Amino acid sequence: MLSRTADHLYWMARYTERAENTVRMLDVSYRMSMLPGVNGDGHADWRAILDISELTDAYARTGRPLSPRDVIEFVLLDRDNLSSVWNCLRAARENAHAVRGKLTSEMWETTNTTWLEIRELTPARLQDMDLGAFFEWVKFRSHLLRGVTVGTMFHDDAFQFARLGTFLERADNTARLLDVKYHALMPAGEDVHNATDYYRWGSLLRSVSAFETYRQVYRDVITPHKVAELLMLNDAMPRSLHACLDEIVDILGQVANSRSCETTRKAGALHASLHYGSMDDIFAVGLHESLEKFLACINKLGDRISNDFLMPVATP
Amino acid sequence: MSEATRTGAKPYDEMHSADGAVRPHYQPYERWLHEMPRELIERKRSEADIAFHRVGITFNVYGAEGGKERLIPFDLLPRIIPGSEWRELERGLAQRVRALNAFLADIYHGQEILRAGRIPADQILDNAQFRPEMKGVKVPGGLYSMIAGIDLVRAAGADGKGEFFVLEDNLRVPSGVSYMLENRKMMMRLFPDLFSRYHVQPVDHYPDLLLETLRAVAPAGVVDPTVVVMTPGAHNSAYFEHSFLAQQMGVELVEGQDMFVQDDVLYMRTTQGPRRVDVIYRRIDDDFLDPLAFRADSMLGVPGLMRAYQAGHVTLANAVGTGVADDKSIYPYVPEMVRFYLGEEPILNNVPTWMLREQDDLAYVLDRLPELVVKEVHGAGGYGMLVGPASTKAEIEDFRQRILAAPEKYIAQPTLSLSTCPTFVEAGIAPRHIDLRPFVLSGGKQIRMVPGGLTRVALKEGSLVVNSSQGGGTKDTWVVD
Amino acid sequence: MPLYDIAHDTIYRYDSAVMLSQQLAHLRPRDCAGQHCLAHTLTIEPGEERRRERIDFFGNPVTAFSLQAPHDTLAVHARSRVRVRPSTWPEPADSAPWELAREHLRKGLSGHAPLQDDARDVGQYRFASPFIPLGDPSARLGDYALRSFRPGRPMVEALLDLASRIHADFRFDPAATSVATPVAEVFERRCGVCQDFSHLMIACLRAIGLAARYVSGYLLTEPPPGQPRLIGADASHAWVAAWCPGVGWVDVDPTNDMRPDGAHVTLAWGRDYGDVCPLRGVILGGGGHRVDVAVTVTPVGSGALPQHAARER
Repeated sequence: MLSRTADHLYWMARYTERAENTVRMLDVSYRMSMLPGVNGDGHADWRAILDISELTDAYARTGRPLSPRDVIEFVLLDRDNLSSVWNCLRAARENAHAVRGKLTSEMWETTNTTWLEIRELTPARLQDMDLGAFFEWVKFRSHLLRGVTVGTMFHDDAFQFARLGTFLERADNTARLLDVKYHALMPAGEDVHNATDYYRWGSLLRSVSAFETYRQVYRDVITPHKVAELLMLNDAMPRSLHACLDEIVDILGQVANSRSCETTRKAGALHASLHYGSMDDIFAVGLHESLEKFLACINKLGDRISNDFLMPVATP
Repeated sequence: MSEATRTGAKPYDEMHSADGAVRPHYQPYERWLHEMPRELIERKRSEADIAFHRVGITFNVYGAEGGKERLIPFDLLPRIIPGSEWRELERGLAQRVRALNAFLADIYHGQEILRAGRIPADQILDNAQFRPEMKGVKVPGGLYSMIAGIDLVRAAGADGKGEFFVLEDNLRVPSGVSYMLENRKMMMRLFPDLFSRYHVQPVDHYPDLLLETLRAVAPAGVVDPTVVVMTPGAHNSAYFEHSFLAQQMGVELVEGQDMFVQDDVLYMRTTQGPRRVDVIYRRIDDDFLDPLAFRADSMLGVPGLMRAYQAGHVTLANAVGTGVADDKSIYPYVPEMVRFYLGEEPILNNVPTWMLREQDDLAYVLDRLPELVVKEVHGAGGYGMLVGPASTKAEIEDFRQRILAAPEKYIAQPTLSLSTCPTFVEAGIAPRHIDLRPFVLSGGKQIRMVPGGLTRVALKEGSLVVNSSQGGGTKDTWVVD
Repeated sequence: MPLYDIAHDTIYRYDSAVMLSQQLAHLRPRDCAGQHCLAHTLTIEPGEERRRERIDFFGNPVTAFSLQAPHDTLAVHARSRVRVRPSTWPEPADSAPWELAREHLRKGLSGHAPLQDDARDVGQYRFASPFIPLGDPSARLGDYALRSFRPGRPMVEALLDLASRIHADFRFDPAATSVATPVAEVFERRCGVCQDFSHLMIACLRAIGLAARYVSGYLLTEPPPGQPRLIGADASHAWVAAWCPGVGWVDVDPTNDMRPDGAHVTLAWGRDYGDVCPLRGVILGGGGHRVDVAVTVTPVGSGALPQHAARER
C-alpha cells in the first residue's frame, strides 16, 4: 500500500486514541476535584494534567488562571492548543478524509460525524453541558471507531497501520499518566492510608478502566506499587504498556519490509524488558527513570516506523 | 451558415416532435410516467435526494475547510437517445478523436499540417498550451488524448430535425464520468421496473474500459503494468471522481508526494518499499506535473517526472501538451484535421465559427454583434465572452472596441439554441436545455466509449448554461435499442 | 582564434540539511557556429548519486543530477575549454530593412501559405514565453522599440541602436531586481542587470513582430592595464540574438552596448531565462540558503585578445 495512505490511517488512529486518553485523564481530575476535603494545593491536579501533555508553558502563555474550568476548556476545546480534544478529533477526521477511498463507509461516517458534532462546540455551550456525559461521549466515539475498524475493515496492511497508531499512542499515554500521577499522588513514597488517597488511586485506576480489574487481580487494598505493576507489566490489562507492546510487536512482524529489521528488533527489546521485567527491578532504577526511558523508546520507535513505512524521505 | 444554427430558431425538443407528439423512443417512458401516481414520483425524488446526499456525505468534501464541493442536482427524467442515432454519433466521435490525436502527434513531430499551410503556424507557436518539451517525444501508440470528453449540443433545423454539433473538445482532464455512473446506479435503484420496459445499453463497465485503455498505453515491453490515478489532493473539487475511479479500477490513488524519480524511472512509495509506476492517469494540469520542468513552485508534482516521461519509462494519460488541440483558437480547424489526416469528410460538424483574425470574418461579425456570441480564444470559464442577445448596447460597444484592439484574440459563433428535454422542476415537468458529454477512450488500436455519456441540464428556465457551477444539473443518459 | 578556459563555480549553503536534491544544469557550452567546446567537466560536491546528460529541446546540452545524502552545502564546479571564432558581422547599414524580417515571419507564421522550415524554427522565438509575457506593456514596449526601428531602417543598424538606447536609458543595478522581476517593472524602474536588459530587449523585438532569443553565456572581462585579472569576480552573463532574413541570428549585448565579437562565450539559448538558467533545482529540506557564484574566463596561451573590451557585466 501507499506509504501516505498508511501514514494517514496511522495518524487517524493515533489522534482518536489521544483524544480518548486526554478525556480519560480529565475525567479523573474532574471527579477528584469534586471530592470533599481535597488536601493541600487544589491546583496540583490541574497542573498535573498540563504536565502530562507537556502543555504547561503553552497554558501559561494564555494568561488564564489555573482554575478547573479554564484548564478543562483549554484541554478540551482550545483552537490554538494543537493537543486539545477538539484539534485531535479534527486531525483524525482530516486524516480520514485524505484516504476516504480506503476506509469503509462506516469508518468514514463515524469519524466525520464525530467531528461534525464537536466542531460547533464552544466554551459557552460546554458550560451548560454535563461534563461527565461529554467525557463519556468522546470515549464512546473512540470505542465506536475502533470497533467499526475491526468489524468492517479488510484486515490487510492498511488495517494493521491503523492498529499500530492506536497502540503506540496508548502506550505513550499510559506511561505519561502513570509517571505524572504516581509522583503527584505519592510525595512521601508510602502506602495508601487515608480515604482521600484511596479515592485518588481509585480514580487513577478508573481513568484506565482498571478499577475492577485491580480488585480481581490483587484482591487487596490499593497500593501504588501494585497499581504501577498493573499498568506496566500485566499483559492482560488492555491499556498496560506490556499489552500495547504485545500488539506493536505482532503488527511489526506482519508489515515488515526490507528496511524494518532494526525497528522490529528495537520493539522486541522493549517488549522483552516488560515481558521479563519485575517491579523490583523497575523500582531499583526508579519508576520515573524507567518510565522516562520507556517514553523515549516509544518516541524513537514512532520515528523509526515513520522512516521505514510511512514517510520514507530518501530513496532506497 | 446552415439553417440549424440560425438565431432564434425554436429549440429541438428531445421528447416531442414539432406537432407535440411523443417521439417513438420516449413512448414507453411516457406510458410509464402516465401510470405512475404523482405522489410516488415525488417520493422517489426525495428518496433520490436523500440517497445522493448520503453518497455526498460519503464521497464529497462535506463541511471541509478547503473544499466547497456541492452536490450536483440530479434529474429523474432520463435523456433517451435511439441506438441508431448513437451509432452515428459514435462514428463521428471516433473519427474526431482519431484526427485530434493525429494532429497532436504531427504538431510535436513533423508539423506536416503547418508545412502544408492548413493551419497558420502562429496558432500553434503563440499558444501557451503548446509544449516545446514534447517535441520529438515518442508516446506509446502515438496517442496523446487517451481520455477525451467531447461536448455535443443539438440544435433545431428548419425541417424540425435536430443536428448535433461539437461545441468543445476536452482533451486535457475531462471530468464528469463519475456522475454518469452514479446517475445510472441511482435510476436502476429507484425505478427497476423502467429498465424492464427498455433495453438500456449498460455503462457501468466504463472503469474496466478505462483500465484496459490505460494498460494498453503502457511503455513498450512492460508486461503487467502498474497503473495509478494521480490527484492534486483531497481539496480538489473533482477529488470525489479521482478517488471513485481509482477505487473502481482497483488502482492506487496517488499524489505527487507519493512518487519519486530515480534514473529516469518513476516509483511510488509503499510500505513495502518503492514500487515502479508504468502508467499515470493524471488528473492534474501540465503546469503542476514537474517543478523541474514546469512551474517551479508546484508542490503537487514529481521532480524529474518529465524526464522519466521523455525517456519513455512512464506513460502519462493524457499526454503533456494536449491543450494545444482543444484551445478555442484551434477548434475551427478540427474539420480540416479530419480531412488532412484521415482523408475523410467530418461526420460531426463544428458550430460555425468566425475567426476575427481574418478580415472578412471580422467585418461580418462587427456588423452582427447583437446576434452573436464572441469568445476570447484563450479565455476560459465564460470570462471575456460577449453573448450578443443578452447584452446591452453599451456592453456591445465596449466589446467592439476590445475586438478592434486585438481581433486575433477572438472568435465568434451564432447563438445556439440547445435542444430541450423534459425535466422535473418545482411546477411539475417542463423543458430545459441540455448538452451531452460522451467520453471517448483511445488505447492501442481501438477507440471505445460507453453508450451515451453525461447529460447536463440547465435547471433555470430559458438558461443555456449547463455548468454545475451555475445551476446546472445532470440526467441519466440512455441509449436504447 | 581565442581559446578560453572557463571556471564556473556555484555554491549553495543551506541553513539546515537538505535531504534530497534534484538539479538540472545548463553548464556545458553548446557547440554552434563560431564556437566549439573542446573539453568540459562538471564536478559536484558532495558526490552526486545520479547523473544524466541529454540535449534539451532548444539543442542545448543539459545535465540532470540528484543528491540523496543529507548535505548542507552544494558546490557545482564547471570547467570548460572553448574555442571561439570572432563572428563575421554584416555591415549594419547593408542589412535588409527590418520590416522584411517582420513580413517574412508574419507570412510564414500566420498566413495560409505553406510553412518553411526556417520560419518554423525561428517561430518559436517570436511569441510570448513564460518570463516574457506580451500582455499590457507590449504596446509601450513596441513604441519604445519603434523609435529605433524606423521605417525602412536596416535591421542590424536598428538592432544596435535599440541596444545602445537600452544601455543609455537603463541603469545597471544588481540590487534593484531579482530573477522574478517582471519585464514591465524593469521597464518602469529603468534599472536592472543583464538578464533584465536581455528580457526587455527581447520583449521589445517580439512586440514589433520580430523573433529574438535569450543567450546565456560568459564574457571575458579585460583587466585594467597593470592590474591582475580579478579571479572569481565575474558572474554568468546574458545577451540577445535577433533573427534577420538572409543573415540568420545576430547577437547583440544590450548590457554592454556591443556586438559580441570573440569575447562572448555562448552557454545555451532559449526563449528566455527560464529555458536556460544555469542551475535549476528542487530540494527537500534546507530552510533558507545563500548562493555564491564565481565565474572566471581566462584566455589560454597567446590567443588574440578581442578588440572590444567589456565595460560592464
